[in-house]
Amino acid sequence: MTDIKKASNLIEKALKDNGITKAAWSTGMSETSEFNAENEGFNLYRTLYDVHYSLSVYVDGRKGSVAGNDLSEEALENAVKEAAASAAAAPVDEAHDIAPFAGRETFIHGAVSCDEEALFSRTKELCDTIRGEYPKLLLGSTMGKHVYEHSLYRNTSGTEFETKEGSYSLMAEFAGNDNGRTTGIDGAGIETNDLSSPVIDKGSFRQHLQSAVAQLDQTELKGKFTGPVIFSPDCTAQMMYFVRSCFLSGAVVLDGTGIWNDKLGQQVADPAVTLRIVPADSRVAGVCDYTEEGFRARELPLIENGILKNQIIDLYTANKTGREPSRCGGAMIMEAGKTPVAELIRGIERGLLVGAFSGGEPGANGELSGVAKSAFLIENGQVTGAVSETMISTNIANMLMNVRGISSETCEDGASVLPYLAVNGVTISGK
Amino acid sequence: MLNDSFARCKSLFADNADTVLRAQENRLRRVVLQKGNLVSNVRMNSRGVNARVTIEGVAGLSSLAECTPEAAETVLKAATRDAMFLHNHAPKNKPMLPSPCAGLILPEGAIVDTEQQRCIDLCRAVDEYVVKSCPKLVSRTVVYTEDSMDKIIYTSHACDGHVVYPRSYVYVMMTAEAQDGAPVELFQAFGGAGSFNDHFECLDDIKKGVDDLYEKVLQKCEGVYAEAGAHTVVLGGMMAGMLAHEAVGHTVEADLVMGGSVAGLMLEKRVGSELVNLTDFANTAFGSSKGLLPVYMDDEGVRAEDAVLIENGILKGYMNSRETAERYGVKPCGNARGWTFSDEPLIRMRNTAVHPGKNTLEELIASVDNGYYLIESGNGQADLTGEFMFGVTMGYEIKNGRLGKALKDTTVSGIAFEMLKTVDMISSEMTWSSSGFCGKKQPMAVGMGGPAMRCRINIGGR
Repeated sequence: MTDIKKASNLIEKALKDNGITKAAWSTGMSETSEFNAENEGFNLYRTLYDVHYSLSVYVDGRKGSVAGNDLSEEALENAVKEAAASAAAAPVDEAHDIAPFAGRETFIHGAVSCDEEALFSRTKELCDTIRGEYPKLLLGSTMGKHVYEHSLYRNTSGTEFETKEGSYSLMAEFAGNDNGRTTGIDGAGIETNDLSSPVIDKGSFRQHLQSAVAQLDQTELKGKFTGPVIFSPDCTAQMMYFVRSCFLSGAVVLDGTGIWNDKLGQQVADPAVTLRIVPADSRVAGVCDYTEEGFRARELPLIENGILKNQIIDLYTANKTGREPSRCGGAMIMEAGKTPVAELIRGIERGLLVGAFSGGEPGANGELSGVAKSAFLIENGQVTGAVSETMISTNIANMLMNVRGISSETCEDGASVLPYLAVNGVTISGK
Repeated sequence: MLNDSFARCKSLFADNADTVLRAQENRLRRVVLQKGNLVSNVRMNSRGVNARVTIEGVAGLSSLAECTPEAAETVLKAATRDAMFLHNHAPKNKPMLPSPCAGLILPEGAIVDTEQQRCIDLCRAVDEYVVKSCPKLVSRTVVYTEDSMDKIIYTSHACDGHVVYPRSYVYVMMTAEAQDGAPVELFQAFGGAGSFNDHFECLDDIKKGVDDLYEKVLQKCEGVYAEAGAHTVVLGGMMAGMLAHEAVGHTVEADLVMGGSVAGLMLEKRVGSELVNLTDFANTAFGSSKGLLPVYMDDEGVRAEDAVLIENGILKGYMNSRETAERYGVKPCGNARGWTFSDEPLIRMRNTAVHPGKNTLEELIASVDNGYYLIESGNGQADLTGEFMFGVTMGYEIKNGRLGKALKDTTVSGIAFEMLKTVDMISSEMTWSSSGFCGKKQPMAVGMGGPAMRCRINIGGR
């Protein structure tokens, strides 16, 4: 059964039959078409048909949740009973709650139907272009994919949000491979609703392809120094993910370990830094209409001109701490700077240009240490060559206070909009 | 467990295609107590059927969220249609792969579901013990998680079978505060393959582990930064396991070898010292399955066997699917696995481990004048060159053969096949870890293990 409204109605009926008056649930279906290729050509075409439900019930201040993909009447009735049993096993905690009534709306976004021939052609074109224009690269896993999702969210506050949305994503992994020399895996991808033009000139494909070729001529960096680093837009995305997780998430607010928990309204970054979450942007393929908690999604400034404006507070954490729920969702966007990346490079006497960071997520203290991948040495304002086995260490909170510049160029890959980020004071160590 | 109603579907398999039909259910049970607050209380089931049909070297795969013979018939038709699309648009015209041994493989063990009440009660009991025993913590999190895979597989050219893989864990995460107010974190996993009753009827082991973890996190609060650069270190068994998985294992997955891994040029060449032996174990290692996540058959119907990777420092082989095994002229060992019912089988590790040696850990530490003993790792990554990175969450200085101060979080890195050549002492005790996931398009439950090893490695300190 793929009638998600009927499934939603069955859940609603089962809730009433079991005397449950507070709940939130969603039902949905998805169709995925995915072409997979490797260096020797296409090897797999997948078509996937899935359905799903998720349900949280709140009984006398106790919360229980279930999820699954069997939308039969019997399975959904059992799901409601199982959720109720889980709630009954939980301790009372009145902070668990659902969002108040937020409307009844239907949203339709993006490429809701898959153009199979166009998706195959663009994926093949991407593979052929990489093989043709970058003969020193070996093409690894390459994928062209379309996902269509139809979902329905309801809660006992009366909210109902129905969404039909689809988008394409294309990605390629590749590595330098020439005369016995190899490089690490590099890769790039985009999300888009539009296959009318080649994808290789979008997002950061070209930057990564050129970087992978240049990485074939690596030299070892000797010794250790403290200096500036320029993170590529993709690497900036990694850094901002760490910032979000370590300092901005509800989890660090709830457990009290976030070092920015008492810094709202204070300077936590260089005045050049402005970071926000936006539910919709013309440069981003997807749209976030509502949050998992049943709020209409809104834009949320996180850092404005270096000042901490908000942390990302979920409803439970809000109720626990007395703060306002953030009601945000969508893509992360960092405001571009005014300096071209070439100029940022020209201003560096000795430092590093880093394409990706290979390392674990920092702990709550923000200490970051890992390998600089796709890294290039900068000397006297010039990129002088690729370096291997180079590690970088810094503290991401200190790093944001030590920004030396943000590029005017941004990477728009359909998922986020981020610039190059240049920071000072990073420990850079070679062999 | 899944009911097997798919035997009759084999009559629908086309003669000119290599076909695998897989019905699968994944279950997740999860409870999270963060600082005593129940922030997650979830039960999740996901099931369905998929068919992979390979015609002259190109494959179609289709899945449907139903576990019925009718759904099987639907996905067989759709997968055939997908394979024909590729055959028409991008033909490979390859001959059919040879058949590995056929047979029937039956489940070893069972998936025993646990009431959510018991999962919550367990977390609360552990949390209460942490609160009582660890007064200097500023935060703690206790997690119970149980995930299982249940697979019924029918193939046209290999084994048929039914396999089940349950595993269950309790994670305890502690946060204390250093003198400068910075949070200091450490975690420990308890449990392994099997269900709740296999591990958590008695809490004695967890309580002992909590005491040990608390002592370590307090030591770490007084910790020092490691000095950046190359050092002689003793890697603990967990770190050796991470090395086996991340730095060596991924470079010898045959699909990544085809993608340009450095291991493609190293077969039958020296990649480590003579002390180094490394195997991807299927379901037992050194006569025991303790600590492992046993795998009996993969998702191509290949009976699982150990894959020998390094023998006395020489690279001896790769991990393969049926397709890559044919390419490299070897027998597949059952490494092709998918995570959910809709996932295609990829080459994945099972239980990848360095073999034990003859020394003791004490001998290894005593042999280091100025270096580090690195014990726990939170994460790791490697690439096709064998360049690896592991986060180190617990370690100590070694000064004049004795353990010194604890370390703050740091990272180690190196080139696997260069670093393994520096291994000059290996301990006889094995440590296994199975609580993590490996990420490679899909997640996968994997085990890893090893003894303590003395070697040279780069540290990314200050």
